[in-house]
Amino acid sequence: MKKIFIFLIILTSISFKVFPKESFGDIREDKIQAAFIYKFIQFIEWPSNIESSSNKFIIGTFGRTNMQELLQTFAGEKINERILEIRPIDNLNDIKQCHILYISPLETNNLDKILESLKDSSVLTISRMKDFANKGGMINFFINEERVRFEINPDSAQKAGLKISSKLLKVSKVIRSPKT
Amino acid sequence: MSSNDKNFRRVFLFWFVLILITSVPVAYGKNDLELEILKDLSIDELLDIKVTSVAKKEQRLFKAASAIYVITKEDIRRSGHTTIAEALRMVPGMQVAHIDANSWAITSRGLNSRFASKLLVMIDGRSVYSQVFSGVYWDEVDVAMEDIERIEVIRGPGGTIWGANAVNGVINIITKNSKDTQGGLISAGAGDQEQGFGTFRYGQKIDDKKSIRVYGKYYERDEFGERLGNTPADGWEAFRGGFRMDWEVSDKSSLTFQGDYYNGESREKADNNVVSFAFPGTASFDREVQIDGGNFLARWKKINSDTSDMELQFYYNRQKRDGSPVTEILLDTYDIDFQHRFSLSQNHEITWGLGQRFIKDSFASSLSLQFATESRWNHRFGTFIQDEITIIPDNLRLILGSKFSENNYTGFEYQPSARILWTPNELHTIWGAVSRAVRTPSRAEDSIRANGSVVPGPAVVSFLGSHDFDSEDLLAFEVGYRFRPSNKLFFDLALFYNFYENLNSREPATPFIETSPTPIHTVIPFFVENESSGETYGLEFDVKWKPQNWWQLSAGFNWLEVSLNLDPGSQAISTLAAEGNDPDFQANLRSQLDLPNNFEFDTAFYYVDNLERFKTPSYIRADVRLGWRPSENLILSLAVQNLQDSQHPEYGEETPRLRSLTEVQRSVYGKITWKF
Repeated sequence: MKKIFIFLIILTSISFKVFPKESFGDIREDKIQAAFIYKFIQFIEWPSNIESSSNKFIIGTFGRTNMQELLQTFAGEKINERILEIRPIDNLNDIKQCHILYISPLETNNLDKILESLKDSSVLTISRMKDFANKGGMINFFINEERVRFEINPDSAQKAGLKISSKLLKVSKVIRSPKT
Repeated sequence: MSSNDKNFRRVFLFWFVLILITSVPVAYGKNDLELEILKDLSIDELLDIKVTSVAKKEQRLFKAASAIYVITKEDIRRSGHTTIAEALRMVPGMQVAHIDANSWAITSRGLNSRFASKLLVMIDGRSVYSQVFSGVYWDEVDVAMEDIERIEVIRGPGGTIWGANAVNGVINIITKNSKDTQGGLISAGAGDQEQGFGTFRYGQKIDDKKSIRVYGKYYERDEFGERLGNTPADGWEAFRGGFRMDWEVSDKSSLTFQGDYYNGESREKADNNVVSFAFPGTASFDREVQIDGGNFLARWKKINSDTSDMELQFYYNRQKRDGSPVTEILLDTYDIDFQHRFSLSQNHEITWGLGQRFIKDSFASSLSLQFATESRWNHRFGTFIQDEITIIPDNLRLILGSKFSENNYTGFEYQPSARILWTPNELHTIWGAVSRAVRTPSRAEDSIRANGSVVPGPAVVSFLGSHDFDSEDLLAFEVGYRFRPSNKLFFDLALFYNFYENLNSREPATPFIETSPTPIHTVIPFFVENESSGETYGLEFDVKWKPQNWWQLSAGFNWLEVSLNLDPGSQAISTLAAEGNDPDFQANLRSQLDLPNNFEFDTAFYYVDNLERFKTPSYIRADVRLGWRPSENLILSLAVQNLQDSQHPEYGEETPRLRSLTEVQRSVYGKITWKF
């Protein structure tokens, strides 16, 4: 009996490299968001001085989030002659290095600080938290009728020198910064 | 320490070492196939993809303030289990004991019995808990296994929402929406225990908004193994068929209609039945319990927003168990329920509901089993209100509520609970709860007379129900912690301390003389009373780990202590459930492995500690399944259950002894599933 057990255990534990079966139909919200983030790149124009500064296109993630891991799938892809790199950012001093910064929803309390550090830079900010776009963030995900939607604050983007394609604005919910 | 325990430790150690070794080079699988596909979709296409309700459900489950566990459809398919009762073994902390081929003792958090009275079981919102003997006839709890979407199990009290009898746990078996079961499915198989089974299902869209499915299934199962010299006579078979229709009336509201019919035979060797009041007066005989029943359910659901919805549900259920010549039970249940959830203000989410149930029962009596009133209407009415209070948004919540109900056995009952939920971030959930729950009397405890045995004299020992029998009640304290360090790893821990009062006891009373039926005999009566109380405490632990997209592991462990005592003044000889009906320790390890060329290899090990009361030894159970999917629509599988030994006992004799015991045997079967 013992031998059968041991045999089974070994058999069970052998790792074969196989591809998962294709299953389409249950897709997690965060995966759809990761795909959106990747897709957004082609609808945004960064200022030309930033465009030419390096041969890398950097998507940073700030705070604890599994978006970092999901986005890794796209790492190494070519974006306008540049290589896509996914970089976890721990230090506020480093956030200006990114083209896109995904801010973890857990960072609600630090949002003002983060946005303050991004002042005078051309980083596209994305998150999924309440009032993100109202508070100066640029693209915020939300769920409506079981589908992922996003709101865009074009004023914030414009301040950072980013141009958002009208095509993208058309399918988003546009949020205007409150007049000050 | 028994050799079983040592074996188990060795098995445990082996697994962990091997898992560690094999997963070192794993680290991160970069390629997420779903994402690769999503990447190539356009923005418009992405906007159109529905977010899986699984994610929302996962979220909801992760942030639940109770010990909830979900068995998924994939878990069921890959476990190789052919009954819902057996599938419940996968839940850490469930006590599942196979008494004989067609009966089980199942509960969570202890006090197990064939009629474990404190576990509420529902199929799509329809209660299958029987009020006659306070328990569940597990041979009748069935659907097409392929139709199950998931089984949600809450360990611990759920009386505030679910009402009476949700004392130690609630099980919700949820079937798929008919729009998810389009096309045809045929599955069939056979083996030594599973002598033959087959399911046919066909689903079709009526139009854009409406879909329907129909199904039929049949099985025939062999007798178990001999025990204590009894010739087993406990085979069983059943047919079941039904339909489900779903209609999306609008974007926000939907209607569901569903119904089932079943007919089967559960055989048993009835023991020590009183057939005459002249000594010795008892007889043992084989009998075939004819089971026959059906149900119809209609549900209307309306979703107003993320925080507001309502539901109205009606069902009718007929259950007939013809256990001639001992007894025959016929129940007709009518139930209507309404539930509404809304936001009162930003910080208060209110859920409230109303429900009414009528049950008409009727019984055929015999010398061994009689009911004081052979047929009557029973009713219960209940209402509940619960307020989910947000103290700190996305962080701290308090859930206060109570059920208030009225029934024809005990009158007014209340079941309040207070739960607190702290979710400091996405990774941790900490919860605690204090709740009260009641188990209302069964029809048997109210009005049965069960004659147990005849002694020279002649005299007959009788167990008698009483109108004075009150509800059993529980005060439960629970805490739990969930931790999800990544989306590949998940930990769940729950601890509980339960205080029971007014538990069932059987108190002797003064013997009296009875002249009819002849011969003149003395009755030695025992009345059911509430003269017992007790405590149970323990913990349940569960880990899920997905080292690779193609490999999933889970492990569970639970510890349980039960201490019951008779109240001062009680002269009872026994309680219905007793100390030592439950294993002190249980553990399980399960693996689901996808192999190349579309093979699946699944294994499960279960350790169940001994049952002190019955001197049932501890056992290890090993299940293995090999599946192969040569094409998208075809699955072949071979399953071996209880591989470890040719047979073993899992439970013992409760008093009074009514049926012969048998032993669980090794089972091998092959199965083919074809979708078209």
